[in-house]
Amino acid sequence: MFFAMSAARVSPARVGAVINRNVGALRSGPSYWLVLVSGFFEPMLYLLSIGVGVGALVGDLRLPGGRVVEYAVFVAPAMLAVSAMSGALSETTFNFFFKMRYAKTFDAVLATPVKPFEIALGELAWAMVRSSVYTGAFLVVMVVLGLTRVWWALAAFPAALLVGLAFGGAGMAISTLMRGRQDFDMLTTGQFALFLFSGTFSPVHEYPPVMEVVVELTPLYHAVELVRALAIGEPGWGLLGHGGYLLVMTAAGLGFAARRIERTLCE
Amino acid sequence: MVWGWLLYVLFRVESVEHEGHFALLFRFVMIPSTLFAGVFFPVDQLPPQVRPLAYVSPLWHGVELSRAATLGVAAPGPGWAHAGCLLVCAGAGVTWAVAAFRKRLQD
Repeated sequence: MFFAMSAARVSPARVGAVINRNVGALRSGPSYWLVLVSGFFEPMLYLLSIGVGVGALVGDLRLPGGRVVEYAVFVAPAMLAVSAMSGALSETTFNFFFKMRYAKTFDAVLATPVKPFEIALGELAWAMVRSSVYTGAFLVVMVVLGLTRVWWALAAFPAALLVGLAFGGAGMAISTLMRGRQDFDMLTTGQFALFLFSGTFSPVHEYPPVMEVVVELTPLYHAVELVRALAIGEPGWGLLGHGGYLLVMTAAGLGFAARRIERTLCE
Repeated sequence: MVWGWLLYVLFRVESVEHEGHFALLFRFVMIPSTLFAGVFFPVDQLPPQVRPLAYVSPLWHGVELSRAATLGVAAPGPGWAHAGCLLVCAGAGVTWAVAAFRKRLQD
């Protein structure tokens, strides 16, 4: 209900102002740019090392549908989902926390007519800029390396955007709960565990049944399944479930983050 | 192995002036060496042009030494050469770090 109430009174201009503030902050110097660009290379390096390097040792892989693909074809879409996740999370976790707690940026923003929900929306939109730059560039690389077809890449792009939205929302929600920068170690650990075990490097149905169920509850699993089905060109009705999971995650994250901003900064 | 690597990192960290540079250190030094220095697949699989980069990495020497020690297989080079590389890294790291600390604390 809070979500519906807040969403009804959103002003695009005020959300735009929040995004613009971030654009202005980019002018602060080259160090931020370097970090921004470097984030793209991480999933790229994993793709080359694990996908291509280890792939040469692994050989081909039989998908649940029966199709046999190169290991790199299997890993690449997962790395795409990971780059969407890490792009969105890097902006909405530590940067968001810093603006909220240390730099008091949001206190300043709230002194203007901008409302908490609009801050959350604006910050999420800004994180999506970063996330979509990463995923767009990654898809170009995948097409160039022959790991997906152009049309399927175009279909996978909006799916990757949804992944970014979901993790961006969740990232903001988590950041509002953080007590200090030490807590971010837990987040990094959790993020790395998701990265390793969400069906990224091996098919989930090869895990023990209990682990399989646990993995199927976690968000990156749904992101990987959604993006992979589109990138390898084998969509099915199951994708609606994965997409729904990510949509709910986006809305819940946004609503929770807005509420927490209001509680911590406005009262 | 870990020892040589840590000292190597130590002297890199010394020149870090901005917090964001840690992210760069991880992304352009630590992660690439973990991924490409013979940890997950043999360095021979890399294109010949980039192989020297893996050979320069102290991690590669450490990995090959550990592999030789635990699996009993022969390392690509003589053991003393690999160990020597790690020691040189450690020595260079300490020397650099001490010099940098001295300069910083005395100025």
